[in-house]
Formats: sequence, C-alpha cells, structure tokens
Amino acid sequence: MDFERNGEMLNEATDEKIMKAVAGGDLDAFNDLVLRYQSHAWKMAYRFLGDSMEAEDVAQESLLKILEAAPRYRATATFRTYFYRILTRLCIDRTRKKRPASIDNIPDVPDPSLGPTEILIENERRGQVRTALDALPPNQKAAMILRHYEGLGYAEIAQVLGVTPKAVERLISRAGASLQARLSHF
Amino acid sequence: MNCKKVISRLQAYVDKEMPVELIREMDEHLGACPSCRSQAERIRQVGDVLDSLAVPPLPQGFSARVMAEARKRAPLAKEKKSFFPLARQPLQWLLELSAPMRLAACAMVLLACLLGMFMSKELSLSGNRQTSVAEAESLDGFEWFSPTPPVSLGSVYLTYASVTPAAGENP
Repeated sequence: MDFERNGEMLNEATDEKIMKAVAGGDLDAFNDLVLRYQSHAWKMAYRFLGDSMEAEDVAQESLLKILEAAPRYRATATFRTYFYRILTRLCIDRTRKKRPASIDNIPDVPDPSLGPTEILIENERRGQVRTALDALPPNQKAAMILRHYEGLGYAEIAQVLGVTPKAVERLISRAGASLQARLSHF
Repeated sequence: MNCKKVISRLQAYVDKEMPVELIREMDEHLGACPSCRSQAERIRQVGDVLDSLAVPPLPQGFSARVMAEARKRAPLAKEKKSFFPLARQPLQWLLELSAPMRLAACAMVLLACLLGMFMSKELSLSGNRQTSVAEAESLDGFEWFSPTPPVSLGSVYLTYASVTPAAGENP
C-alpha cells in the first residue's frame, strides 16, 4: 500500500516491518500505519455501526489497540488480517453493548444529476439498505461487509472471524438471502 | 449438478470463491436453468444495492487525534514491558557486558569466594594453642558465673570452646 504524506511517497515497507518498528516504540512508524489503515477502519466501522461518532470511536480504538498489542504481535497471519480481526471484534462488541440506536443524520452529498424527487427516493433507499444491514446478526453482517466492501476472500474472512471458509460461505449466503428478502422491491 | 446443489453454492459462485472446474459445472447448469440463473442474478443485485450505501468522508483530523492519544498511551505500553519500571533490572550490568567480559566477571567472583574460604580455614587452623577453661570463661564473659558448676551446660560449652582440635583430629 503506497500513500502520500506531505506530498512525498512513503517508504514501501511492508506492514509487518512497520509493526516491528512500532513494537520497538517507534511512534513515527505507528503514524505510517495509521495513515495506511485509517480509511479502512473508518469505512468498515461506519458501515457496521451506521453512526459517525461510534464509528470514529471504534476506528480510533482499533488503531490504538494495535499500538498496545505491538510488542506481542507475531506475524502468524498478515497484518491486514490482524487489523480486521481487531476492528471486527470491536464493532461486534460495540453492537452488543446495545447503545440506543441513532440514525445518522449526516446528509449524503446529492448527485447533481438527480432531481429533488430522485434524491428523496435515493435517500429512502439508502435508509432501507441501512436498516436491512442492521437487521443481520453480527457475524453475518461482519462477513458481508468484509466480503462486499473490503474485498476480503473467504479464507481471510475465516481467519478474521475465527471460523472455517465453509462457515463464511454459509454466513454470506444467509446474509444475502436475508437482504434479498428485505430489499426485493429494489 | 442438480438445482438444490447449485443454489446452495450460488453465493460462492457469484463471489468466484470456488475451484475453476466447479465454476465450469455451475456455468453449464446456469446456462440451461433459467430459475437458477435468475437466482444468481438476484444475488448480484443485492451487491449492487449494497453499493448504494454511502459512507461520509473520513473525519478531519482523525489521524492527529489518534496520534495524540497514542502519545499518551505509549509510555504506559512501554512501562508494562519492565517489571521494574524506574530502576534498572537486577544484574542489568551483567547483561550489558560482552560474553568474554561476563565470563571474566563470574570467574573473579568465584576466585574471591574460594580465596575467602581458604583464608578462613587457615585462620581457624593456625596454631595449636589450647585455651584453658579459665581463659575461656573470661573470653566468653562467663567469669561472673565462675566457677561453672560441673556437668552443667556451661561447663560442657566451655570444655568444647577451650579445646582446639589438632590438624586431622575430629573436634
């Protein structure tokens, strides 16, 4: 993963090499890791939780947990898998704390090609997708988000969730069937 | 492949998460079965609908806030590594020496112990002068209790204390 900081292309060090530096207390290396993964952390947390404040909190906490666990980190799986494992657990735990549901009122940037009616319909549709996704059991939701939005393969999702690839296939199938039933009118 | 088996694997087929030969078999069945083909199409449409779920942009200053919190927590994370957070660990100096120096330091400590034991034995064996009971009484501060009653614990003690065994003899 390459990315820029202050207009310069950052070092192409692997995530695992950077983690080794973080384990040694190198906060600059940790900053590099944050820049690499902050967007993924935010997007997954938002898709899972549907609330900006919760999502930011969980995304931040996932990165800080990586910092705290760095001395104990062993590259038995890729760093990416490790990162998603921590983030997914935090998302599921946050859901289980059963905080009062809050539907985010941040307005989407409207598509300029759409008229007001179309914008309303589009927002309504997004709301229903949100509701359908929130109705999924946590593991099904996590599997679906990791597959569809984050692009992880079944084998990697299995490592993230601590299940078999066959179980991941079943989770995603059931999630898909449930979403189909709720969103069949689209 | 029958429809029941195909439908059970349709999600993996749409996600391309199956071996190539199995995908070919699925392709064959779907080519001939409109019902299964339409089910595959509905699975794809769910994916398209999920794409409509927008995500707001990353909040501004997110990484700065993470790093500020990291700087607060980093000293704690480092401290947890050491059982003695402020003082040096015992024998830390030994670990900082090179291997030959460590060996030399251990050899010197061993030599000092052996020398001490040798000198202590020499001192205890030096001279054959026997101490009389009277002298032992005064040496040990027992003159206040003189004469020591015979066959008492004190007299036994003084007898032992006054006799210095010659070399090779048991006390």
